[in-house]
Amino acid sequence: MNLCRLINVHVFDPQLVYTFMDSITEYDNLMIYEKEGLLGRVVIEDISGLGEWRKAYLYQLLRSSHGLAVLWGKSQGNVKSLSEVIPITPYPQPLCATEDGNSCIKLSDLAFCLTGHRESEGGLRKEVDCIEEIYWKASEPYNLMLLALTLMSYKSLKKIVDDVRISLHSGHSGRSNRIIATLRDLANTFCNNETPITSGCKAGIEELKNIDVLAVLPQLGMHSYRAKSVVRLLLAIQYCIFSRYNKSIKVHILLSKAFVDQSGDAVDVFIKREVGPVNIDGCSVGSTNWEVRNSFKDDYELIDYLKSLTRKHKVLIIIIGDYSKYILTKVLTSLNNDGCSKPYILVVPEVMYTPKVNERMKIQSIGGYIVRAATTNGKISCKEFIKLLQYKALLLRWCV
Amino acid sequence: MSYTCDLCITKGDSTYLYVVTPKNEDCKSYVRRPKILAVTQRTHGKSHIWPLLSDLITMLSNFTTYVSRDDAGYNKDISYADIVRIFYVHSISLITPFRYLVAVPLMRIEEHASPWVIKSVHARLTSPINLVKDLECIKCINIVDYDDLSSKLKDKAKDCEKLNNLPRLIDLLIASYIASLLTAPTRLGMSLRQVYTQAFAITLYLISKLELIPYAVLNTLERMFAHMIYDTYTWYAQYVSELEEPRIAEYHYMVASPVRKDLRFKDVLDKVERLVKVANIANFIGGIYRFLKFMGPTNREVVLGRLVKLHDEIRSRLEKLRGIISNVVTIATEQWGPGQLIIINDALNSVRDVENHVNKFIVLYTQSVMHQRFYEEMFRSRISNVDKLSKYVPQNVEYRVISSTDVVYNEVVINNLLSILRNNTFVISQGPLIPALKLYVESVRKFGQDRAILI
Repeated sequence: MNLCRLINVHVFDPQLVYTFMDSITEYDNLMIYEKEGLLGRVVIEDISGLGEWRKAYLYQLLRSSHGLAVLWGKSQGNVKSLSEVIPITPYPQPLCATEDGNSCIKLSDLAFCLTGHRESEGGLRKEVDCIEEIYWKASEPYNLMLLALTLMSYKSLKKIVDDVRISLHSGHSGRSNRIIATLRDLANTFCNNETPITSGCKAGIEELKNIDVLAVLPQLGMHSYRAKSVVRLLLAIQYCIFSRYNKSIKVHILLSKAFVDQSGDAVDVFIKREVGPVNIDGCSVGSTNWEVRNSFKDDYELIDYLKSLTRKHKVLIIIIGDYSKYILTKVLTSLNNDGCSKPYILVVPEVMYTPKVNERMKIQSIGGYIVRAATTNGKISCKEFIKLLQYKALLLRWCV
Repeated sequence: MSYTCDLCITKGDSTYLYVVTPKNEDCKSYVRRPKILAVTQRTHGKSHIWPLLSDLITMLSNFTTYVSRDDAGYNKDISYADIVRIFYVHSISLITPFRYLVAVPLMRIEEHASPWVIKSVHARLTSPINLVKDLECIKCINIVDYDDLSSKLKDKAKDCEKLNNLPRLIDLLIASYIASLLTAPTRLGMSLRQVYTQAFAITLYLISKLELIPYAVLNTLERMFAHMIYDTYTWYAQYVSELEEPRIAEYHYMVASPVRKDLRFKDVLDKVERLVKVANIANFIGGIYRFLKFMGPTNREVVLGRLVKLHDEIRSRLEKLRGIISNVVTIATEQWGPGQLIIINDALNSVRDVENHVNKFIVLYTQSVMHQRFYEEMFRSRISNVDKLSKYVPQNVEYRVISSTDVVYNEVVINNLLSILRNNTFVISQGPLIPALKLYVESVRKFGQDRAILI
């Protein structure tokens, strides 16, 4: 396959990944032609209303260093009236895009890049489902490829594609259509509706039923609003994971000296629990059985305390975002010969890409905070929350 | 408005380009008036400085643009106007981690009938680029006579053919210096300052130790390196700390650099000049690090600290480790770059009783360090072409993409990777915690605790 069509192309700026989880641009269709080191990239935009003209400028600003051809096709809006106002290129239906120039094809006849299906064969649903699966399982490499496809030079794009390909296969490919082939590989690997596999030290959520203590290690640099978000997250973990086992879980929030020195307002949030009850699956859930430790003289005291917890209890260590790798190493390496039970560790990212698809099979939004992504109309859904944890949070057992 | 001049690259008595800082006590004005890159009409695709400019364009475009050139490195089709427009286009791009204004110097024009003069004047008056008066280079912190520097390097290359490619490495160093001055006050902007400074530090040390360049050129590079550090702790730190919006949004903590009003450029330069003569890389980096950390009131060092920590940790681990290391696996952090690669290699080679034959470096990176990945590769290819330097740089480096959030994808990538590696592997797990912890735990499980560090 030398010619294919990507749909719902949302491009995120990786520079903003920690702070601004909204796409910087979105293309309806990206047509890719690739053969023997030659690459053609054409965007075909649907005009959905009079406001579309603004995108012409946005695209120009984003692609300042790289000319990506943009054609504009009629969908709901009027391409003719728009092209009379701003200099855009209407998309001729059908487009003569094949090598000999004679065999003209319609956009709808083009195979989708990920699944290889065509729209006419009812392939749109399969392609959208596949994109959704990829956003759950491999969103960042997919975004990197989209970014490279739309904004980067061919030289950079080839390198990124090779990096993704070797990551998936442990070897380079000599194929001439390696960009399209790598997109297909990504789809073949991740569009299979399978739940995450458990291997090595990876653990499943159902294994947590034996846990009786949560040891929470908040990240340095946190301030009050993020602390409130952490409280909501902990409530969701406590309720969605452990309430079904009717277990009373004790929550220890361990604040390092550096954290207490730097983030006084966040410490107050944890001590005073400045977050009211949270609506989870229709129940009003508040914090109970929580203990905040904020008087550690140094990291060693915190490490000793954490070790003593793992000696006495079955512990789940919870990290939100990032944490001192020095402390983690000290704790983990001491466990091998210290007679401690092997703890579970849950690392929850603060922000991530998660897809929401609307009834018109357009990706409506991607990205956000984990609790917010599981919340609809002010109510956290445990089903959504658990799914987010399964795909976007690292859960493992120190099985060494 | 008045300026202080950071850098002036000259062609004898005339000038190729300037980097200037608007002088204003009100720090908030930095938002409106960041540093200015002033390009004169002596720059074009045939000028001596074009190879350097082409590197600078690639870096300032965030690697979205690679410049085409002939075998000698020039492009006769590129005019001065093209260069100004290319820099201008990249300066307003939303996807680059740089923030600067492009300026052209005011010209004394006596001709008024020639079409090219009228065209040029009209273009200046209607373009959103700044006009600056021709500054006196003598007041600049760094003054580089580029043509003289190039000819000195070429003379050196004549004496020793193996140094033919040295001028292109020096071009990239100077481009890195200019790019570091122009970084935006963002998280990636700060990281790139660190990456460029670290790469500069290591290379400066190596070319000094090996006596590859004449003293005058070395002195020029020392001044540039000292200025990169000085500018990061003074102007840039002030720039970041005073911006109102990032502070409110809790964004500023991501761009952490303590303001050092006590720091003097001359003190940094003296230290660099003295330390560049020490016995090994670790002492050079460590010396600068300790000077910056302990001489100031904040007791913090952000520019070279990561290299020192990496070197110390790897060394102390390897002192206990027995056996061969053939493969090294690591994750690229925001400070990943040539500096980290060379310092890791140096740490591996510095422990003599471990028989190290590192065949391959495998680097996992997330999308947020794409710039660092491309920069490291570009730098490595340049340094590897200089005969005496190539042995300090691992030649076989392979990049793979990892994710900071997608645990299913990471599972596939890490399983694939570990399945092809044997027990002669050493794993330096760093960077984003989700992949770093996963890689660390699985590596300890497969290779043993001595062969993996989480740092």
